[in-house]
This record gives sequence, C-alpha cells and structure tokens, in this order.
Amino acid sequence: MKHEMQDDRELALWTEATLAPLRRQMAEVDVTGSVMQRIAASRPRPVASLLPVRWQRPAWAATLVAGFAAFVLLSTTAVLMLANGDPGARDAMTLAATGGSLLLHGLNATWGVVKALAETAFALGRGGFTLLDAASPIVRAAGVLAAFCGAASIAFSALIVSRAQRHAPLVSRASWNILNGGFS
Amino acid sequence: MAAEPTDLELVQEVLAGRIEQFEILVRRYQRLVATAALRMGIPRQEIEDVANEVFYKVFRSLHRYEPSHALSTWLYRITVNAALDHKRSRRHDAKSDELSPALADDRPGQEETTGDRERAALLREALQRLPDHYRTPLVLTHVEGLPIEEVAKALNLPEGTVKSRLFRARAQLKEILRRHYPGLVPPGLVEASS
Repeated sequence: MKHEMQDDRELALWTEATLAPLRRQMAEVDVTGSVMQRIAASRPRPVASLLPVRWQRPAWAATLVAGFAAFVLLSTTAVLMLANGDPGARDAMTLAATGGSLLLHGLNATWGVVKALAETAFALGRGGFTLLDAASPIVRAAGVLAAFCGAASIAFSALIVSRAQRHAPLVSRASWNILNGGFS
Repeated sequence: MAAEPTDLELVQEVLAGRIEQFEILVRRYQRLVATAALRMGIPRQEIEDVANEVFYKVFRSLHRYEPSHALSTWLYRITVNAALDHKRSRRHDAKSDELSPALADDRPGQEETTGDRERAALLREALQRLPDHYRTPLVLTHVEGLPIEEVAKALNLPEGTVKSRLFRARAQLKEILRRHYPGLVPPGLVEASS
C-alpha cells in the first residue's frame, strides 16, 4: 500500500515535469465585442410604439381613467339592479346562495369522512400496539434465536473458508496475474 | 479609486438587468478560458470561436451559477465541455481530422521558446491519444494546476473518481510517450518513470 502510494507520487512528479512545456503556453484573445454583440442580438427587441413619445404618457393616463370609469359604471348598475329588485339580479343572488350552501355541505361531508377514517386508523393502531405488547416475549425469543443462527452461520463459513485455504493448491503471483489478465 | 467589483457582484448586476457589466467578466476571464481551451487541444485559430461560445453559454446560464463555487471553477467546467463539443464536431469534418493539432498550431505564445513550442506541440499530440475522460482531469491537474477538489467540482465528479482517473491517465501517458515519443521524457526522470 505504502509502495503503491510512493509509485503514484513519483508518477505524479514525472507527469508534472513532462507536461511543463504545456504550462508555459498561453493564449490571448479579445472576444468582448463579439460576445456582447451576440448577446445583444439574442435579446428580444422592444416593440415599436404606434404613438409618438410625447403622447405615450397621456395615453397611459387616459387608459387608466377609462378603465376606472367602466368599473364604476358596472358596479353602480349592479347595485341599482339589486336595490330595485330586478328579477335577473335576484336569480343571480339565488344561484350564488345555492352554490355557497352546496359548498358548505360538501365541506361538512368531507370533514366527517376524514374524521371517521382517522378514528378507525387510531383504533387499529391501538389494537396493533396491544397485540405487540402481549407478544413481546415471543418477539424477543425470535430475536435471540435469529442472532444465534447468525453467529452459527458465521462460524460455519469461517470453518469452510479455513479448510478451503488449507487444501487449495499454491499459485505464484505471476501466474495469478497471467490467469487473471493482469500485469506480469 | 473605486475598488474593482467582485465576480459575485458583477453576476448579481447582470442578473438584475445590467447586461453591460458582463463585459467586465469577459475581459477578466477571456485569457483563462482561451488558455484552458488551448491546453485542452484546441488549435489557436479556433480558440476565439470556443471562447465566444463559452462566454455566450455562461451568459445564458448565469442564473444557475452557485456562488459557493469560484466563478473560475465554473468557467473551467464550461470550457472543458465546450472544448470537447468542439472537438467532437471537428471529428465529423474529414479535412480537420487530417490537420493534427501540432501542425495546425504554428504561432507561438508570448512566453514560449522554439524548443518549448515543439515539445508542447508533440505533447498535445500525445495527449490526444488519451481518452477524453482521462485527458481532461490530467490537463486540469498537471497543466492548469487545479487542486483535486476543484477538478472534481469542475468535472462534477467525486474526488475518488478523479484520483483513480488521474492515476490511470498518468500511467497511459507514460506508456504513450515511452512507445511513440521517447524524446519527450524529461532527462533524469527516465529511471523514476520506468
């Protein structure tokens, strides 16, 4: 092992000395411009605006104002329809109330199923634990038996290996290498 | 005088949208990338293409950079992969195959003597005979001078694998030089190496 490590270190030193001319090689390039150009070309270009620059801000403001006005108009209409007892609005309210009620009942039913399942699992777990507690001497005995069998198996294997080594024919390192295709 | 921004600061600025800051990173590392590509066996006239490709890939995957690693280690990884890809694509080109890296590379670097240049060309030729997975850790360790941990990070391999590949790569290189380039073995080390 120590000899192999020394060989490796010598080989490393040899490689270091052999490759020295490559370490003195340097390369100089200037790719800054081409890289930055390539990056710029790969980025999406901004979409050209239809309006002149001085009209862009007022256009944004006008869009916001128009959007807010539309929102106020729709909200006011909805409130007035509800307040005046419009049949369409009443139907919509009934539909929303039915949906809400259905959702509530669905959630209640789901909660009930989950609770029942959890209670069953808990009862089963408790039963299992009681069974394990009652059978603990048997489990312990099985453990001891398994350990004993393991120890016996190891002893038997050791016996077989020592007998095999005693009766095996002697083979030199060189012929072992030849047989196994290694270095001679 | 304002202090130079660190690599991490530059990366964060580029990710925040200040793309022009990437130019500083390119300037800072283009020599390292070009030299690593040359030492990986890329001919000088093709180094610019490889360096361009490396920095473009770096820019596109900058959000995946892990600050726990040095930026140079990450650049080595991308350069190694780009050099291997470049060589693979060249293998498809029959004309490029006929041109050995030694012959293609006739312009010396600034710090080389003629003897060094010839030896380096032959060494690059000898290194081309090693499989990629042996040559890469060998070059990163013994030419680029990276420690094993950095090589492992750059190649995304466990340190044990890098060590065993290095051991086999050195042994194979020794055998290649002994058989095909006996003049390249440094004098005084012949006994130690044989």
